[in-house]
Amino acid sequence: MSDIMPSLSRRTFVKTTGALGALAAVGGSVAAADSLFGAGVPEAHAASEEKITWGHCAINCPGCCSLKFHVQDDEVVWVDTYTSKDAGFDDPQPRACLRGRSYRRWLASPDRINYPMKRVGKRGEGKYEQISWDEAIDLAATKLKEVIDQYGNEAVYVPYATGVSATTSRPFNRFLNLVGGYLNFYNSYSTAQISCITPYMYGSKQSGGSSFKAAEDAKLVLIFGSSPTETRQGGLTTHYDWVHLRERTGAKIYMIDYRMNDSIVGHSEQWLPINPGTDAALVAGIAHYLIEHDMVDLDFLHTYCVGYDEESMPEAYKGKNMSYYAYIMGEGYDKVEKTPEWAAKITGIPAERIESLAEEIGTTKPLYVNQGWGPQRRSNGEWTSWAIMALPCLVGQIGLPGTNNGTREDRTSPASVSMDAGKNPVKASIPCFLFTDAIDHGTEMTSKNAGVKGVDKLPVNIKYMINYAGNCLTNQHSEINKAHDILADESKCEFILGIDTVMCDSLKYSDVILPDLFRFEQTSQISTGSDTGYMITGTACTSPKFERKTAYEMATLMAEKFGVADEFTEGKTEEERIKEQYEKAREKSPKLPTWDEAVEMGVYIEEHDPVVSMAKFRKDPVGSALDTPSGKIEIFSEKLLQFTEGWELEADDTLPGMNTMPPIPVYLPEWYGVETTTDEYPLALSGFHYRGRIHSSWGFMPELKEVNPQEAWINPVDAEPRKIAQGDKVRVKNEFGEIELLAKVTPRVVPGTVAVSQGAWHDADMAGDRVDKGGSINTLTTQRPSPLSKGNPQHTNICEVVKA
Amino acid sequence: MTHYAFSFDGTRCTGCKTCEMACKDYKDLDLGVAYRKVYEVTSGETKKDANGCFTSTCTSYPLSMSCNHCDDPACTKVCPTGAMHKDAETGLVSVDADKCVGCGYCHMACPYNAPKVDREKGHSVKCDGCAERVAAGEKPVCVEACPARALDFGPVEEMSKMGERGNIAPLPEPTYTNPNLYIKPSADAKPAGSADGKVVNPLEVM
Amino acid sequence: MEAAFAELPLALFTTLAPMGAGAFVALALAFLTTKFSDEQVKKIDRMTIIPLVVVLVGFVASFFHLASPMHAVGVFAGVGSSPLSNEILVGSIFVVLALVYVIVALTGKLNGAARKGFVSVVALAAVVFACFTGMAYMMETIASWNSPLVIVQLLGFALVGGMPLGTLVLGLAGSLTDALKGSYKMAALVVVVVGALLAIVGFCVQVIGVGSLENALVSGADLVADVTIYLAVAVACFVLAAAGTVAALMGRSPVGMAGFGAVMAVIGIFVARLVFYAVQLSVGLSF
Repeated sequence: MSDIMPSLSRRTFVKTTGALGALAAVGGSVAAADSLFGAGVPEAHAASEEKITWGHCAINCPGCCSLKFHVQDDEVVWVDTYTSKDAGFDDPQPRACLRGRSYRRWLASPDRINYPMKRVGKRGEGKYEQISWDEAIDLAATKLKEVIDQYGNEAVYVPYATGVSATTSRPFNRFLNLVGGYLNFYNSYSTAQISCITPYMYGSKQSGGSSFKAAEDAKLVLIFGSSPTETRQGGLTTHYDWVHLRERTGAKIYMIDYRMNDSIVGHSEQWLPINPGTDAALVAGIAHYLIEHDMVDLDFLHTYCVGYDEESMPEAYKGKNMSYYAYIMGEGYDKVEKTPEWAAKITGIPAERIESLAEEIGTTKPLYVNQGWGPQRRSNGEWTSWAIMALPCLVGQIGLPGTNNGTREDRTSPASVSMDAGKNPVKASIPCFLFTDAIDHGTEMTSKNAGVKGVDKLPVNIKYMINYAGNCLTNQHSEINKAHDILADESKCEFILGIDTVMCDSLKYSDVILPDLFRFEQTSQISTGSDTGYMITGTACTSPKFERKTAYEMATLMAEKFGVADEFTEGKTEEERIKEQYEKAREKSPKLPTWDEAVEMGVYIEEHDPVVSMAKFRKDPVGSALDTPSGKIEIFSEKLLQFTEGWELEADDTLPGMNTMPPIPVYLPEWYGVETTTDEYPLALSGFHYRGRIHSSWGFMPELKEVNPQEAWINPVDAEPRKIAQGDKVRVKNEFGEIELLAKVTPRVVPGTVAVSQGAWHDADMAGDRVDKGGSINTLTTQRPSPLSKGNPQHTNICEVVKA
Repeated sequence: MTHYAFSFDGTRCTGCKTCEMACKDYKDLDLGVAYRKVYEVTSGETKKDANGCFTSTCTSYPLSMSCNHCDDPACTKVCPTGAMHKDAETGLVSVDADKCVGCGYCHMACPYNAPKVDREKGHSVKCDGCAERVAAGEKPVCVEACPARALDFGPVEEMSKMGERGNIAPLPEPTYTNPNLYIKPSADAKPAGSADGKVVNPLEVM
Repeated sequence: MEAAFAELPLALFTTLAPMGAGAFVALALAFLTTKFSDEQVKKIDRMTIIPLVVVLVGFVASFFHLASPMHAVGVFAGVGSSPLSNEILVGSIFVVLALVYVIVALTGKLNGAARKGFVSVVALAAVVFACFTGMAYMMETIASWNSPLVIVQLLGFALVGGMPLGTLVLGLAGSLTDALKGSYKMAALVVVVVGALLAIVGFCVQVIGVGSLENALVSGADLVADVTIYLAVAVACFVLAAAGTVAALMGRSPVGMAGFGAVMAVIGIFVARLVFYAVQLSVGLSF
């Protein structure tokens, strides 16, 4: 009978199951009072006085929203935010999102780490026993000394992490710089491809985008692959700015995405469904139409840009059909004319729709073109993001009111100063995505094959890591099964020191774990914003519980073992540093309140004017020239061409017949994309940001998981032949692994592509079948980097889906 | 005597569930219980034609809703003990835990999925409109939490200016209970009782 | 149907209480149509404890449905407005009447016209109670239940279950043979057949009607498709319950056949009640 009405089965929870259910519930609630994990010592909240403290969210989201803690008897009773009953739609209030409003559960979670611990099982098993702080620091410091003595400081690494954003969030880097340094990384898991390509085109000093507020003046808004509300949730970050913009602008809005994301729910007319990874083909098809219909802004292209056509090509490359025009019109490169019909086959957007869109783009001004970071987190991400940036250039919609340069929206924030991390004596730097390679075979990594910078090749493999508030060792890295095998081998990376608040998957590979305090359990300050800037000054909501310490205290203890404590602290507590940094910020921006005022108000808000990207350059292209080699916008990049000469590339990294990467924003088919699915893995698979988590943060919390289930979005067209119905348990698999999760059968995703939100907590028997019951997409993502930036192409995947 | 109502701006809501989680924190609700829920209503198709091109009739919109403190509440009507009652002064509907027998009739009768029996607590539980906050001059915690400013709460006369009374799917026709929920519908919204207006996220709203 | 099992205590209550009550209709018919010996009356009165216990077990089961049974005394507060209060009030009156009847009868002080009058009142209360049980489910906001057919089927359940149970009581008391000599036979036969018809028609028409309903969560057609097999089981049980009773009334192994009829009735009503909960369909959002 259980197959009947399965979708309503949870009704049993509160409906009658008999009085026995209530008895069982009472019996099950006895908790151990003093465990390795757990909440603070519970006390009655009886009628004692309530205290209010301010704090800020410190997890990798520019929202960094305000948190207003209501505290009784040294326990948080509920978490409010900066808000007021009479606030109007225009009143700026950095209201916390659903995750911020759930912090009390995390603070008091039974999974919270209470004591220093050392590993007693295998790496990845998660078996630990309590040790003293003395023993923990001694183990970590002794091993660090050994590694530095034996391998050198290049063998020490602080992996990319997103768990803490604050002005004092890198104390371990400061400590390591005092003991000889560590292997650097560059890039991020967020923006590797677009951050890499943008300077080639726009330089690095004037390349920022226009704010959302600036788009109020636009008549047409094109957003490529962004969900401002899901990626940055909260009351004064892009979530709010987007909702505000949509209501205030008279512009027509199109969201070009393979998924009807949450930012356009209720407004389906704004959705333009596209195959993932094909945005550059769409731009090429639009460009063809614009050229054919004489809608390109030649004056702009010839005055401000390099490489659009023969006339604007650098001397050395003239007459070789290497311009963007030659690519579009089929005269150069692959010699294929990029007609709307050509683009339609690739993008899935009908040719007529591409033409009508191009017509709108060619005739509607101001045009605001914006892209999220989804389109670039792909195997062809550098070229996809470059192509999107080229679109506004074609119609001269750069540097004018209501326009944008095709990058993501600008953000503004009040002045702030972060803790000086010192100078790293080590020059070598790797793309952060390649750290597992650097553990496994770092000495084979060079500038030509792995983007090594600072040195031609790495002198040594990574042997020691300090993983502070990071889940990028496995969960947020790629190909988790492979990452596990590398990390589990203690002969490779010999020691991992982990610092966190709860036992995430990456932390299970630590040899020693130190229990962290949240930033709102200590004095902390953050300066952030998007259309509007704000600063939050927080103090400890409660005293430190159990044996938890701040990261600054931990790094100080490490420094003591190396005899550099005085140099590390300079005689200052963390709070004293924060105050001192703040005074420096006030020197830059005298309008900032005094420290005492900032503490008192908790939230300081600074209204900023709309930012129009590249306005100075538009006004004076000579006096305000860009910091590109030509000083102009480079639609053709000689620098890129030369940089990639002699690189070891795979055939499918670039256009057929080329032995460098393309110097113009072409469409590159992906290696695991909609055009390269196989019989075995016939569906494309892409990730997205989910409202219930920031990356993997909060991914363990039952209260959030309950209403934000981990699902594979699949179109009915793909679900029906697989006999998959809404709510079914399904397996998504490819050559890298297999995950299990629920099916969301929905027309909100295009046919042929499956969408799985990134960040779910990996949950697999790594000694057994390795099926990830947590549904982390990174069980299925590849460790092969995108060709130019050597970044994580985590949205580029193919898969098959079956009913579990 | 001021009777209160909620308003919901469907053009602003993105379905983020901050309202729901803020309420759960403030009211200290456990798993399985939420006083405010966010329904996803999706309809239409996104198909691929013979040329591999997409055509879409897909529409989708969220609805955030708690108790609507109806003028004619179905819950109070069926309640055998009078535990479920509508406050004469404020119009807010709440449960008297000392009287409630936990029979679940309010849960069955309410067409807005508001009351629920919490067997551990031994009585029905539901949104009380944050009556103590309202008495203190504040608004319900969900309203003040909304990042997109899609929710509001106030005297019926004010809220009724902000939209139509409970008139979009997945809601029933408002005539059953006269809900105090005034809605500004998004472009995608289907009318109350529409066959297209299906809730597609049942797991998230129970 | 899984959801329906969550309503197990209520399903038991609405199965056992009306059926036990219905047995008093049979007993009233017997006393109104037959002159029993004192010895027979004594035996009948002793066996009457069986339907009384059935009713009480039903009421006890209903307490397991409540999250706070300690507050149950408050349920009369809603009399007049809450259909549930009304049902419980009428149910309580019936139980009290039935209890007093059995106690007084067991003391041997209930004779002649007094007995006929009292047992008729109890039987009438039983019928009213069955109707009010159905009425308790009629709510404007639950489209699939808001039908007079719910009253009809509950009355039918009481009769199609009560007649075999009451006949069994007579049989176990060794009094059935005498009763069958008079007009009890025909009266009981008519009542059990009418009961079966009311149960089958009331139940089937109501449930099949759900197929045309729909709300934002479920379609009635899906609900009906899910319960069709159980619907058939319930109908078959009602037919067999009536057939068993008729066989008993015809004097064919009366005790065995009445017992068979009673067992079929219990199963049929219980399954029907589960189906009933499984086809709950709100006009709006209710799970």
